[in-house]
Amino acid sequence: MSQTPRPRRRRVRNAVIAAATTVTLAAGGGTAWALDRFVVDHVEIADVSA
Amino acid sequence: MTGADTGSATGTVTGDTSTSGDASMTVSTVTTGSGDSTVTYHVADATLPDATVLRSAFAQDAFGTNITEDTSDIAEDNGAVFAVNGDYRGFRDTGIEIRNGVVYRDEGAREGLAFYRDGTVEVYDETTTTADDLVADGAGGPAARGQLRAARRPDRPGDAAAAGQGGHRGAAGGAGYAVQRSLVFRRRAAAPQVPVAPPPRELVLR
Repeated sequence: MSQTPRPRRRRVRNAVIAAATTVTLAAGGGTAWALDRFVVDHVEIADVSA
Repeated sequence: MTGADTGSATGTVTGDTSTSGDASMTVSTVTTGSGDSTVTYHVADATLPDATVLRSAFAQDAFGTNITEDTSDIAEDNGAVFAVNGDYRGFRDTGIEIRNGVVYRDEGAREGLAFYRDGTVEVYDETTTTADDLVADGAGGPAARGQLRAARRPDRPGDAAAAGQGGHRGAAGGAGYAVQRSLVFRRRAAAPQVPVAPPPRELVLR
């Protein structure tokens, strides 16, 4: 039984989706890291004058 | 600096000079150069009866990273007549941090700036000493080397080194005056020049 090759358009679409997903995840991870590193407060001692 | 530090409950302001007890500070504005090379900076001459009058305060009164507050607000909260933002302890998670004699972090990594109780100031190698040794030597407020660097980057609100005033928070005209000066300093400031060997019994910041 011979397999029907995927249409070229579908292969391109899948590749685009995969690339977009990868870029989105990388950007999201980088953004989350940057926010945590440079923006989000990390309080070790809340009231130093106490 | 509190009233107990100076024996005075309030301070006075005359022109650009603020006095409280034996402590005095004169703020002047210097403009040099011309055209695009014009540089304007402010100089604070502080004469203090005791080096411990020069205090530091954390943004939001908290220790950690990414904690910010305008220098003027820190100054107002602590009744300072003059304050300079500095240090980068809120950006780094390493380095030796001692404030007002209390050790907050002891992970030497770079060069530090130590203010000793006898009035001397020293740049030291963090990797060859410990916070406890510095405190034992009389260090009251070592800060990461970034203190001076931060002074050149006044756009980043952070901690403040503050010379306090005898008056209560916002009670005297001097406090408001200092806050105003602090704001001006934050906008356009030159790095403070700290003398290595100040005269005995007197700490002069220039």
